[in-house]
Parts: sequence; C-alpha cells; structure tokens
Amino acid sequence: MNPVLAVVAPLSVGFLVPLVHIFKKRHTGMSVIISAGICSVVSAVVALSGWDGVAVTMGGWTPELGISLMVDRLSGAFLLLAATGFPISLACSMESFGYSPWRFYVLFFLSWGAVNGIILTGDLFNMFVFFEIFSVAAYLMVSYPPRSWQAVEASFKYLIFGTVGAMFLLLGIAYSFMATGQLNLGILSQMMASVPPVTLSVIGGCLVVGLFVKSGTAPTHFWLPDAHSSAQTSVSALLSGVLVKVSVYALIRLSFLLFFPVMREVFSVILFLGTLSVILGHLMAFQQEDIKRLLAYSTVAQIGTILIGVGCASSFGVSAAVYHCFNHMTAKMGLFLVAGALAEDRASRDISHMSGLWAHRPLFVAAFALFAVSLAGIPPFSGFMSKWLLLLASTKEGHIVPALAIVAGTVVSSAYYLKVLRAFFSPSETPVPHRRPRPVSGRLVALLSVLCVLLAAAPFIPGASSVLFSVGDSAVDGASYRDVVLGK
Amino acid sequence: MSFNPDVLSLVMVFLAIFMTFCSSLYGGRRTLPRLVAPCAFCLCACLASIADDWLLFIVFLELSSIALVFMVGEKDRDTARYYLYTQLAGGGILLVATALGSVRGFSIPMGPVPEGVFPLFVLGLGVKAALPGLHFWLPKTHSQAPAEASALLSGYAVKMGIYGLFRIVLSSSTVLMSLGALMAIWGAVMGPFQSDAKRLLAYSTLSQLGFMVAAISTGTELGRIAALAHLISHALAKGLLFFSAGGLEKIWGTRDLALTGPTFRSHRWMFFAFLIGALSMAGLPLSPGAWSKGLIKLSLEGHDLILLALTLSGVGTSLSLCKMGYYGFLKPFYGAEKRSIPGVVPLCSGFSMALMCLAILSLGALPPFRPVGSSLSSVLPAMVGLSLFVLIPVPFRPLSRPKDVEDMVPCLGDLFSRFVSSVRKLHSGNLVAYLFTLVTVAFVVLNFLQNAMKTLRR
Amino acid sequence: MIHVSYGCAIAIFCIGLYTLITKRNLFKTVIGLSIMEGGVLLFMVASGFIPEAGPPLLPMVGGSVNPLPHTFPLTAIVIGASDVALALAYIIKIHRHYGTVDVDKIRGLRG
Repeated sequence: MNPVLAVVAPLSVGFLVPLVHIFKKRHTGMSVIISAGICSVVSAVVALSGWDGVAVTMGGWTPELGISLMVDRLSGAFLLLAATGFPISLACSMESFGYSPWRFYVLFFLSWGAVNGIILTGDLFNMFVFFEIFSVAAYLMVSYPPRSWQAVEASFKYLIFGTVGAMFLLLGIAYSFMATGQLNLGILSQMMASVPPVTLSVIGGCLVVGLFVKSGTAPTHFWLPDAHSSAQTSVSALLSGVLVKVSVYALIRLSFLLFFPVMREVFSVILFLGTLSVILGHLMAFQQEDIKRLLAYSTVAQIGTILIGVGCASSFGVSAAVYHCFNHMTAKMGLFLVAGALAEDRASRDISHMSGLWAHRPLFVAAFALFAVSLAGIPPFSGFMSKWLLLLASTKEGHIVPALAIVAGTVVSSAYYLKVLRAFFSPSETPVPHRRPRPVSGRLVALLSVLCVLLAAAPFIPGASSVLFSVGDSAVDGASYRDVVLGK
Repeated sequence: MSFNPDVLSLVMVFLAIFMTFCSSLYGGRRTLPRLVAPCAFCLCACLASIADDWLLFIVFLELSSIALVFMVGEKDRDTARYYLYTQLAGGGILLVATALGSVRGFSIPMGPVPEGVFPLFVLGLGVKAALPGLHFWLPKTHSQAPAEASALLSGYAVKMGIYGLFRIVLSSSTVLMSLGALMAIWGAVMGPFQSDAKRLLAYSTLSQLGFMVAAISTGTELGRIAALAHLISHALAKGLLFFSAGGLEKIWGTRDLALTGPTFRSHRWMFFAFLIGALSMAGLPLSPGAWSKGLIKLSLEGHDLILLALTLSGVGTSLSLCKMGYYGFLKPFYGAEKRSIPGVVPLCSGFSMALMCLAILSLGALPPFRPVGSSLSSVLPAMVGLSLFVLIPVPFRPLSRPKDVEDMVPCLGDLFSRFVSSVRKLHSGNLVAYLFTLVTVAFVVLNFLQNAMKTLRR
Repeated sequence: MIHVSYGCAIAIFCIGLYTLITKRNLFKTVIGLSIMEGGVLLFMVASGFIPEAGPPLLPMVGGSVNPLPHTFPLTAIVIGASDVALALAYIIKIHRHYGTVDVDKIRGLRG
C-alpha cells in the first residue's frame, strides 16, 4: 500500500472532524471511532506491506528534488507502535471526555498524522515540518482542558523547550543543506562523507541536541515530567507511550543514516546522555510524592535506557532498543491509565493518600503490579527481556558503566514501584470517595496486560526474534535504505 | 538454554526440598497464599541449581530470592525490602558479568567463566554468599525474619552463592581463600558478642560460609567435596538452631538473650534439639559437622595460616553457641524467672525439629569417609571455647552488640538521600535555569564533537 | 561577503539564546525564540547565494542563485508564527493565574 496513505488518512480525518461536527453533530463520536480504526488499520497495512522496503516520491519528482516517503523495517516497527498506541489513548480519552470536545480530536488526529509523517518521511526538512505539527498539537493536548494552571504552565514550558529544540534541529538541517545542497536522507547519507569534519560536527551536534530536547533526555528533560504529569490521563499515556518514541525514532534514523560511518562520536554522546538519563530519571522518580510525576520521571529513565541501546551503535543494540520501546509503551501506557483512574477515584495524586485501593479495584491494582514489575525489569517479564538484551548490547561494545546504570536503575525502580504498591495494598480508614464505572479503561488495561505478557514471550518465538533482529539490521544498513529510496 | 542436572545440583535439589519441607512444617498450618511462597522458593531454587547456563541460574536465583522476600515480609516489611534490594543488586552485578562474558550468544554455559569477568562474578556471588564487606545484609535479615525464613535463608539461600562459587572456582585462588578465612574469623569474633539469639546464629553462619569458601578455593577435588559436605551439614545444623531460636522467641516473646529464661525447665526436648544442632556445628565426633570440618581441614593441608584461622574461628563458634545455650536455655541473665511464660511451641514445629535432628543423627552415623584424626581436631577449639566461656564469662554477657559494616548502611543512606535531594533541588521549576542547562548541554556537545573531529582530521 | 551573512545569522541565533537564558520576563523569552528563529531563517536564505549570479527569474541570463532555500523559510515562518502565537496565548493564561510574567515566580511545577 502506498505509504502516503498512512499520513494522509489521519490528517484528513483531523480536518474532517470539524465538518462532521458542524453538519452531523450526532455522528461525531461514531465517526471518530470508525476513522481511528481505519487510520490504525491503514498504518498497520502500510507497515506490513512495506516491511521489505517501499518508497514513493511525491509529485512525480526524482528523489533529489521531491519529497520521498519510505517504509522499511525500522519505520514499520514504529508505525506499528503508533498504530497501537494512538487508538488506545483515543479510547481512553473518549471515555473520560465524551464525544463533545471535537477540538481535542482534531489535535489528536493531527498529531497522529504528523507522527506517521515523521516515521515515513525520507526528507530532512519535511521531517522538521512534521515535527512541528506534532509538537504544536502535543502542546495543545497537554493543556487540553485549559482550565488548570498546572497544565498551562507545563504546556508553556514544553512549548519553549520544544521550540528551542526545533530551532537547533532547523539549524542542523540548514547546515546540512548548505554543505550538501540536498535534503533527501538517502542522498545525504552518501554525501556526508565528503563534508568537512568541522561542519559535520556542527550538523551532528545541532541535530542531536534538537532531538534530545524533543525526546526528553536528561539534562534537557525538564519539560517532560511537568507535561506528562499535568496532562489528562489519556494524553499522558499517549505522550509517554508514543510521542517521545517518535523523537527516539528520528534519533535512530538520523544518527545511523548520517553519522554512522563518518562520525561515531555522536553515538558516544547518545550513550553518555542516555546513561545520565537513566541515573537522573530513576533518582528523581524515587523522590516523587505525586504518582503521575513519578511515572513521568520513570519515562525519562526508560528513554535513557532506550538511548543506551541506540548509543551502542550496533544492529543488536538498535533491536534491543526497539524492543524496549514496545515494552515501555505497553507498560507505561497501562501504568498511566491505572494511575489516572485510581487518582481520580481517590481525588488525589499523592501516593500517601492512595491507600485502600486494592480492596477498591483489585484488577486495576493487579495490572499496575504487572506493569510495574515488567518495567522495573524483574524476570521473567517483558522489561527484563529487553533490559537483558540491552545489557548484552552495551557490554558487547565494551561499555560497562551504562550496563551497571541499567542494573542500578532496576534496584531503584523496584524501590519506588514498591512504595506505590505498598500504598495501594495498605488498608484505609476512609472509604474511597468516587467510583465511576470504567468499562473502557478496564478493557484497555486488560489488553495492555495481555500485550505485556505476549511481549515477554516474544524472544522465545523463533520467528519473532529474527524479525526483531532484522529491525536493527535495517536501521544500521544505510546502503539498503539508499537502494529503496533511490529506486535501484 | 536448558537444564542439566549433575551430582552437585542434585545434592542442592535434595537439600532445597528437605529444607523447604522442614521450614514449612515448622511454620505450622498455613493459609493457601502463605504456602505459595515456600513452594515458589523451592521450585525456583531447584530450577536454579539444575540450570545449565548462567542467565537461567541468575534468573531463578532472583526469583527464589523474591519468593523468600515474601516469607521474610510476613513479619518485617522493612527487612524484606532491604533484603530484596541487596539481592537485586547482587543479581544485577551477576547479570552484567554474564553479559560481559558472553562474547557470542546470549549467555555463558554453567561452569568456569572467562578470566576477565571472574572478579565481577565473585563480587556478584559475594553479595549472595556474604563475602566479607558484602555481608552487610546478612545479620539484619537473618535476625529480623521469621524463624522458618531465617532457616531457609541460612540453610539454603546463601548456599546458592556458594553453589555459584563451586561453578566458577576450579583452580586454587589465594585471594578467595584468605577472604574465606577472614570471613570465618569475622563471624567468629562478632558472634559471641551479640545479644540477639538469631543475630548470633547469623554471625555463626558467616563464619561457616567462610569455611566453605576457603575449602572451595583450594581448587582440589577434596576441597570441593569437603565444602559440599560442610554445606549439607551446616544447612541441617543451622536450620535446627534457627528453629530453636524461633522456639525461644515464641516462648519468651523476645530474641534478646538477656531477657530469655530457663527454657530448659519447661521445654526439655527443645534444649536437646538445640544441643544436637550446636554439637554438630561445633564439630563433635560422630556428628556431620565433625565429618565436614575434618574434611575441610584435610583439604587445606599446607595452608598453615588459613588452617590456624579456621581453628581459631572454631573457638568463636563454640563460644557463641555456649552463650546461646547458657542464657537461652539454662540460666536467665536478669530476673527472667518472674516473667510468666507467654507462649508455647506448636507441635508441628516440634515435629519439624525432630525431623532435622533425625537427619543430622543419621548423617552423622552414615558418612562413608571419616578422617578420625582431623575430626578430633575440631574438638580442641570447641573445648577451648567452652572453657573460655566458663572461666571468663564477663565479656560474653548479653548486653550490647558491637558495630559492624551494616551500621555504615544508614550513614550511606543518609549521604545518598542528601545527594538525591540536591539533585531534586536542581529541578527548581525556574524556566531560565532550565534553558541555561539546555544551552550549556548544547555547547558542550558541539564542543565535544568539534574536538573529536579535529583530532580525527590530524 | 557571504561569510558576513553567515556570521550575522549565527550571531543573531546566539543573541536569541542569550535572551533566553538571561531575561526573566516571559515575553522576552518569547522574543528570544523569535530572534533565534530569525537567525536560522537568515542562515537558510543566505545559503542559497551564489557569487555573481542574478535573481532566479525567467528568462535566465547566466547563472542565478539557488531559489530552493528561499522556500524553506516560508514554511518555517508559518511554524514559528504559530509557536509564538501559542506561547503568547499561554502567557495570557499564566498571567491570569499568577498575576505576573516573572519567570522566578512562575514555579508551580517543580521537584
């Protein structure tokens, strides 16, 4: 299937939602659900049909002039991730907001289209444009009911950081255009070898810093805990589960295509900041009283864990990182959904107030325990599998400190998740004040738990593990990318 | 990844099943959820000991520790957490070591590990087996846990670390041997000065683990057999001793030897059970302890300093057991006679202790190989310890406990929390400060890359 | 000559960064963002310059400068405008809650 459809479908839904709202108000909800299903299916089909590499260039131009869209295994994997994460978040937001806030759904589909665009595009400037569409939509979604001051302040910080990051990204793009006269990633990857080293270092530095800011790597992570904890539950789940992964995708794509052969130092930077994120994120999460803030800092740490895999600069490392992306998405989305529901029942996000919830919603708490254990990396759950692969990847390249950081992170994260679980299981004198039925959230959490368990089994299925490792190969292999994009 | 049982692992499996059975019998009638943890422990421990590669071993070791955490947590949550974190850290170090060692594939087969990662393996296994300095978790956990969990901890869980050492140490290692001797001495020195009955036993465990480490690190076949024999005899004896310490706690409501009274009057059988365990531990001839200690000393022929250290530590073991027997069963330290007897030991605990006694006695009768001369050698330090206790009783009164490595843990925790709160202060909420960090990072990254590329060009 | 314009662009970018990290007024922060953006755009436009070439108009006489980099800033300007507009809207909201636009006082989310 033509990759363009994966971008066009969500974008056009985004623009159709207001029209439906104006002309057929009663059908808004139903049409949003159906179109989300369609978008998800289209993305999945695009990902699977383009598994071995498909590229189109828009408007009948040659790749040198036009904008290419291209699917290979790496982008296919991330497309699948987005196609899973977005509908889950949409279902959750439909449950909590209802059908009426059509403005929210416009933003939602815009960001979905932009995310697919970032994943599919083969053009550097186009990537920047999609990044900005997705960022602006994300700023607005964070502050979605713009009534709470926390959400507005968090959004503002996110916006300032995101824009500064975008400026660095744009500067890097401008430099690379100036140096080569090209924006197509396939051609750029060929021409990077002829760029003078100092210019190359400026390009690399600007691009990498911009993507660090966008993905919330320490020490440029300051916006992330604010934004992820102040947003509504479904948006937090989306941000942590999918949106930060997109920046990670861009980082993998750009660093391997542009700098893998010519400037390996970029990977040292990624590895170093990834390790720093792991340490800082876990230490900060350890001290949080607010459950959503705790989860947000844990996201910082998990992004760091993923970046360690990327920073190993090996196909194995990227495969492990992608696997961890999936594990983190299922577990963290589940954690945010459960935490949001329980916090709403308790009318407080303070962990010390969260007592008596085991008696109140046993299944939610059990699912929380599953996700937490998985994310902390206790065997034999999915987080352990990916962390083990990451440990292998980083030690194979001879990096011990990141491996030790991952392990220490496991200890610290088991400490803070245990703190939360202890609060959940402790008996409470006061009854839980609210109990809204949550059929949709319950099913989503069940779905995510099943996914979490299945992901843990993935490395043992021979076919699945070879698929996983081929993802890493496709990320590292710049030549095959060029072959697909340039149509050889 | 597969399972491949050999003789060593089969011995471990039998031991695991026996110890778990005894300790659940000791715990008495239990609800279903409380039965799950011992069963899970037993299963994971068995799987760990028959695992054929290190990854599988570590995974099941961790899982068995986690099952044990639940057992410890029945009584004391804080200790359970403390135990969990130390075990996770140890397992994590082992995982990193395994990852480093596996050049190709996903794991290293069970057995000797590459030269380069050997120290890291010793470090990770050292946390599990409480090597000196890494033993900070052992006394606290052993003393605060319920008796059945302590018996499993001391009788089996720490032995998994020893089992790991069995697999990696195949040649003579002087460093490890002196570490073992140090451990034996350290436990023997600290033991007699404890006032908590289970802490005292915990230090004795430390000292006996030192025996095993020293024997393993000879690297000879005899040393390995000796260590295995001692592993079994110590597991049985220490399990029994922990059970009787648990009985003391049930009767007197405290583990403090200063407050326990003349248990002998009301629970004569328990004293005899304690005596069997203590005599086997001290190495009385015809007991499994004598057999295994004799073997260990035989295997250490030629290492005179180590032998001397082990003999000296025998004095300490005997002293601490005398102290426990005297203040716990025979004579109260304060006016404990006036205290009413609050509790009784349930029947099932008695059965369990009887089973252990039976096992010890039959093992003492059975050993196929009994070096008489060296088995007598452990009688001498035991007698010296006994006479020391009789002649100079004053220092061994149950009054206070000396400081150990674990007393540094709160200080370190303090430092850690001060550090993390200073990290937290950096997240001040000030946008300008945040942006300043961002710009600094950007310049540092650019500068680093530029320097790297400049040197590349030259 | 072209180096002067590159230098200018980078200088403007750095002035924007300097504004961001020194000014405590939220409006000035946003102004700093705009300045940074201006610097990058100038940089892009300047990169299309080819010495001694005419404007890219038909009919072509001799060489002409590269027109492609001039189209990028158009998109980037639109994006920048939406960012700035959104930021200003947020500042209004923040001012309603805090009653100030001083960065040091707007620290509700921390730790």
